[in-house]
Amino acid sequence: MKDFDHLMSVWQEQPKKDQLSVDDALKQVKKGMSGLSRKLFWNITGMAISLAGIFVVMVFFVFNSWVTYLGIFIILSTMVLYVIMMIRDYRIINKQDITINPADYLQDLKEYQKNRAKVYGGLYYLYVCLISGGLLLYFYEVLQSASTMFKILAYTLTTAWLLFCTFYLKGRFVKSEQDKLNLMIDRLIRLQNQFD
Amino acid sequence: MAEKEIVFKQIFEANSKKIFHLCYGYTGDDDAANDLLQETFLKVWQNLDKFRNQAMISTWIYRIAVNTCLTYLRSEKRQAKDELTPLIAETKIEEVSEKTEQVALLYKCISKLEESERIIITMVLDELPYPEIAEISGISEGNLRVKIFRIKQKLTELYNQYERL
Repeated sequence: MKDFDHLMSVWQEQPKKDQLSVDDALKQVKKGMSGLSRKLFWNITGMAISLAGIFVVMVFFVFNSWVTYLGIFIILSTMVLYVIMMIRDYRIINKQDITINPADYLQDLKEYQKNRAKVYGGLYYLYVCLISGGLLLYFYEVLQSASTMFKILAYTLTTAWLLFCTFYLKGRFVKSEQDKLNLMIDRLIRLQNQFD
Repeated sequence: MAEKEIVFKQIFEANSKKIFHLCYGYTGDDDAANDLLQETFLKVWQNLDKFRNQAMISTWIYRIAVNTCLTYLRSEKRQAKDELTPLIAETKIEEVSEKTEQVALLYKCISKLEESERIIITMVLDELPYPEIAEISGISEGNLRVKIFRIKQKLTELYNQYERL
């Protein structure tokens, strides 16, 4: 029968593992930092280019009807809303204090995961409704002089795309996201109970 | 070299071994432990300015490491608890010395504990003072002593049980 002191001596005499060297750690840390900033940079740049594109259409193309401008305005506002959500998320993730005690930290994470699940569930429908509304208003004038065939084709393709996103892509995305979130929340609850 | 880099290097040299033990005890896997070690020190780097005036640097780093381990949630493929067993099973017994075998057995037993127990016991094994463990884990010292007593018993029982097999 071995006692705990024996385990202690086994632990303390354990051979050194292949551990990250200080120079590698520093290199990785710097790489990690620039990776994070780069990802955020490309996200924001992508959105900014799209916004600028729509803005150019709005300013340089002359439309006769205010309905078209309203459509473009709705699409632009929706994209701005998306950027705001992206920045909000980024700020929330950065605000999480990893130096607080584990029980509080897990509680924070749990709240965050729940909020994210809730917000993204409802927000998607708002996003699709706004984009669809915006596109409908935009097409109203733009397609006025087009042939009936082209109009039918444009509306059908747009509707099909939105339906495909809502009922196929979103379903798959939300399911995998929800499964992951549920797994995370379950695990966070279990972990939190261990610290009570 | 920038001052921040010098400070970081000093902190890394002084703490990385124990933090690696904590991460390895939690995951039971070299690569995963190195990933967590790296992630911990990335957070240390990000928060280095915030912590300049803290009295106990090791407590602060341990907290980051504990929270990083707890959110090690890439769980579909890497369930920390189940990971050690196949790793140990793959180790060819005849190739390892008795000491390595004992260490592997000890890690196997640690992997059978609850996550919080794994974290606490690695700090006990690394001889961190109880008030510091209490501070890191956010558990009152009295409660922690009871917990540690139970974990020690559980780990010793597991070790003896597996050693007989």
